Amino acid sequence: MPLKGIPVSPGYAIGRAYLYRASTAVQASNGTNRVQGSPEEEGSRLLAAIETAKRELESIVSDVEHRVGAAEAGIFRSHLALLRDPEIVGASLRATGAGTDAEKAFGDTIEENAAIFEGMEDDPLLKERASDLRDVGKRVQSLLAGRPQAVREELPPGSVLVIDELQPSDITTFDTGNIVALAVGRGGPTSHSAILAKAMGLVAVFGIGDLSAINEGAELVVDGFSGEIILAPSADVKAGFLERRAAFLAERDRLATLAREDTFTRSGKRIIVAANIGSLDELDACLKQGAEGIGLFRTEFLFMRRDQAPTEEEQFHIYKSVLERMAPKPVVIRTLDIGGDKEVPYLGLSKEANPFLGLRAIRLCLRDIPLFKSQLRALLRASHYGKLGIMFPMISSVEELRRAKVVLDDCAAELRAEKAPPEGDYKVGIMIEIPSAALVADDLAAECDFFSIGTNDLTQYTLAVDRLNESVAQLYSPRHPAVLRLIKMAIEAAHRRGISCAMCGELAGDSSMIPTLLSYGLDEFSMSASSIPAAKDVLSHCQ
Amino acid sequence: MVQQQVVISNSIGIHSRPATLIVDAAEKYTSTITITHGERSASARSLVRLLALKAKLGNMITVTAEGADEKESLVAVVGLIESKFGEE
Repeated sequence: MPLKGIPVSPGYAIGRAYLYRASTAVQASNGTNRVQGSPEEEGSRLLAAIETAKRELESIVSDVEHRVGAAEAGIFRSHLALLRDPEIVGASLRATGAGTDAEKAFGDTIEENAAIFEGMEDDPLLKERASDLRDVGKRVQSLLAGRPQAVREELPPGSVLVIDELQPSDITTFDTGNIVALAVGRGGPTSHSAILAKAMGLVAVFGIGDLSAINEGAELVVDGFSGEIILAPSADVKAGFLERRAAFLAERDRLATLAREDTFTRSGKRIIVAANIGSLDELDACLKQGAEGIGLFRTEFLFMRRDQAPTEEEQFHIYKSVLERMAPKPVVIRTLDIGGDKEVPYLGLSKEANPFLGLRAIRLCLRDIPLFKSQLRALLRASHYGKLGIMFPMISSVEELRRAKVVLDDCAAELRAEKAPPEGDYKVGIMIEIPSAALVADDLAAECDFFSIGTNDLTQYTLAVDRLNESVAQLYSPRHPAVLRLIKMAIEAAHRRGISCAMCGELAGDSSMIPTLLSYGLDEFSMSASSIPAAKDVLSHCQ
Repeated sequence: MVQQQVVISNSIGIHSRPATLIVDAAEKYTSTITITHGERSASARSLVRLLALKAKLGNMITVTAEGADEKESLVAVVGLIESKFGEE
């Protein structure tokens, strides 16, 4: 009878069971007869253990950042924040102050808080945070018990790690090179351990329940798709499993190769699959996933969370570095897309009743010419270093596009007069995200080099639905025939005028919509980096 | 004391990563920063309390700051929430 759990990280593995028992050793040493100190002594013992735990976590953060990725390292940044949490530290110190020993004071505080999260049955994501708290708790407890420092657990090659509960930092204490799969008693797909396992490419099944049927060193088959764990598999079972495993690995390699290559449809049409980014940190992930360019670089982050606008020089360096890193691949940089719904004090924006219909994006830039010019000058100077597309957001009429282009030409003339280094070739395009732009797309296409359709705003404006408003969010559908018709109109207008048409909204990365968009003639699909491999696969199977 | 309302616009709401970013931001200031969502309220320095706010996409929350650098700290925390914590 096979065991069954929840598959959290796909793949197939065969290995030998390695039963993890290290945590029990710590608990045993915890029970020795240490004489309790004075309240002050217990308080400082606890603080010292917390400080050591913080240092350990800091080194885990940099290790995970290096071995796995910045996003996964964030899990341990949150553990660090738990150790600085005034609620946790404060409550523990109040307990030591009242005469409780450090172990019990900290343990009780962690358990109280973990129990609160565990009670959140309606929110599985929050419920899982109990496991993070206990992970931090265990780290401090073992330090209080006199553990010298984090020890790395040695496993024989080809091990299936069998463990009742896997806390995120456990994964970092193993030499994962020797682990082929994880079989875990508790937890589910949204636990941080599961996220780490997936990012590290380890086959994993969680939530198996009782693991006592598994003996140390027993041969196990772990199916990371069905969640099955087969004990003592027969030769037949193993042979069938190895066959499926070979097919899976071949398919994974095929997708990885596809991601690195240019994308062509079956009829031979070349399609660009690009990435949307909001900061320089995301560039590595884009290249790794096979992005053939940046279809949308949002520049808002440069302007937010600060008390004055970024200087031209500061912007120039950022635009230059994204262009250089991606060259010779194209990079489309969108000019500031911000409005009264955002808190940017130095822009002096007033609160508006309808910020999404108000002074925002290109409207704001055409009102604040010095702000707009600093960005355009930085872009023109950076154009020398790569293949740049400058994109204006929220264009609603030809008049607006013309005015924006006049400012751009002014900047180019200024730079020439200042004898600045020559600008490179660049293209000028617009977002199609307001229904009026799609309706006059022919006229707009005559005056720019490319379109990029923003489906999120186009849907919101076409259907008059604020998707952040819970009461009407269910009416928000980018598949509404009206939205699709506007998309088709924009693509056809672009092609009539001989310019290309891209899409950078969420719809572009939706595998189920890609064939439809392709049939409309869309030339470029830009999406979040993680959607790229699947999108390339779908595109290469389309006519 | 200064305060401002803001709508959560990142898809996962105030979960671990966003809450950690709020704590990191709040620790840079001396003011007391409190976030309120309906009946619940949390110190911006406490990860466990921020998570327990259960603030999700579309929820309106109130950020309050009180102290020597209250204005700057309010701008920083509200700006972080509005920037969707760098998500998309």
